[in-house]
Amino acid sequence: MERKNTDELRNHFSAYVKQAVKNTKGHYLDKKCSVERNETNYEEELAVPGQGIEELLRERDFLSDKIFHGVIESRLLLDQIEDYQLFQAITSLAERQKDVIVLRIFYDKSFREIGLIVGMAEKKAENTYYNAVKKIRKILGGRKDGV
Amino acid sequence: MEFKETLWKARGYDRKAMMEIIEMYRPLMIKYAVVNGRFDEDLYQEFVYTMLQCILKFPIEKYAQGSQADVGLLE
Repeated sequence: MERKNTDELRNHFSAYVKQAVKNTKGHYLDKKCSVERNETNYEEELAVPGQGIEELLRERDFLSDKIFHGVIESRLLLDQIEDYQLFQAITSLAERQKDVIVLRIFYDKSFREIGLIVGMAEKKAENTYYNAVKKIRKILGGRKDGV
Repeated sequence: MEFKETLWKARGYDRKAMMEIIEMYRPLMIKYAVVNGRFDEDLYQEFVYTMLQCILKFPIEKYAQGSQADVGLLE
């Protein structure tokens, strides 16, 4: 009788474990799938189909040339920002500040070059940039080192 | 040792008993840890964690009458 009870208990426990293991596997695979779905390879993301890295670089240089003629493709670049709050913060800046931020961050220009492009002194470009950064920081509610 | 006894000991955080039960179900865990013909080590580790949870959460009272008294593990 005791023997039978123990066997029964063991069977119940086995069924319990089996179901738990199956559930764990389901959750694990779901999680893995969703991670794989949302993950994109950094290099793939950079490479536009049909365009090599060199072509992209040429295009970047072309855009760089264009900005010296007063055309700043800020909209296109800002669209790449995925963080909604950051996007809002940048778009809420004054036009001049936005230009300076885009030139400094996306085009990687020096303050002297920025000054030449937007038509202001080097020092003023620098001040505009740091003021804009300060403003973004304030909007995002971060500390000095928080952004 | 009877299975019931081992389970009760494992529930009392007896490491040896816990290991014994995990060893007992190792083949089952290995079987389910194979995904697309490959053994997934991470999944296997998840199973070991699940096993420990099962040991602690299994409603033993529902399936074994008077088991605590029988084994005499509780004071």
